[in-house]
Amino acid sequence: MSMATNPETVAPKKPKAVVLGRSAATGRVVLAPAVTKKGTVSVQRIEAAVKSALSKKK
Amino acid sequence: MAVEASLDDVFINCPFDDEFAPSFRALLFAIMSCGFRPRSARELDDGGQTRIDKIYSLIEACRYGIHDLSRTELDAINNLPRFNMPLELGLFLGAKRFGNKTQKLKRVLILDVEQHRYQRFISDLAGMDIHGHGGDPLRALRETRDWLANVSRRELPSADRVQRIYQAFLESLPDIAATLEFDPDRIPYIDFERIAGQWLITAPEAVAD
Repeated sequence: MSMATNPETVAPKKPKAVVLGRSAATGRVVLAPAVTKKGTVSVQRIEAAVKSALSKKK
Repeated sequence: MAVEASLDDVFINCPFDDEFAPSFRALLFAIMSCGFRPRSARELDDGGQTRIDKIYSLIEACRYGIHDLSRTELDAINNLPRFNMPLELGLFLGAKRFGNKTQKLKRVLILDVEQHRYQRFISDLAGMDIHGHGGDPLRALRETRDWLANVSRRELPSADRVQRIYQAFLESLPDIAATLEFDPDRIPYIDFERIAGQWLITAPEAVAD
């Protein structure tokens, strides 16, 4: 078996973390959680709740 | 089969009880606000591999590891200490010591309530990077930020700024939790991570000024 196909010698690359966006507050990218478990509420509801809470702070 | 460790993934090995929850959240937020991705046993579902196999996979996948030994104490019900944290720290150190070239690049931060308490229960750790947080979530957050800046050599927001941003997030959290019909102290792990991520990319630059 060649080195290229031997599973003991080839390290498969992990899929790169998904970038959600950049944070203006920190100047850093924000990475999406590792998806191994489903959330209990939808991303859309979270987006709306966060926008609503932040708009009240203005 | 060997798996490449992610340069962005930070394994959090800590207690998952209610008392430690504010510190756990502070660790998660510090990691996310510095541009890294937290990984922990809380993200694991119950099917498939055994739990220890899942923890092996998580440890293998993470360049960085934060290990909190605060619960080295007898619990009130069984009068026994929790050994999961020292076990997972040992696995992480073993991967770093005996793993391939990528695994040898692992970096470890050990946290405890007191910096030198480990000498009384796990003295073989002498010479390692052990920091005390006194049970204070904000100290844990600052220790995490400072350590990530040191070991990653990335340019990160200052500890003061990360702390102010976290405090602004905590002010928003009850409102967000109410909208989503969560008890703010018992938001499920994966939802908390999504809320924190969404808040970070939505909050304006001046949120912590």
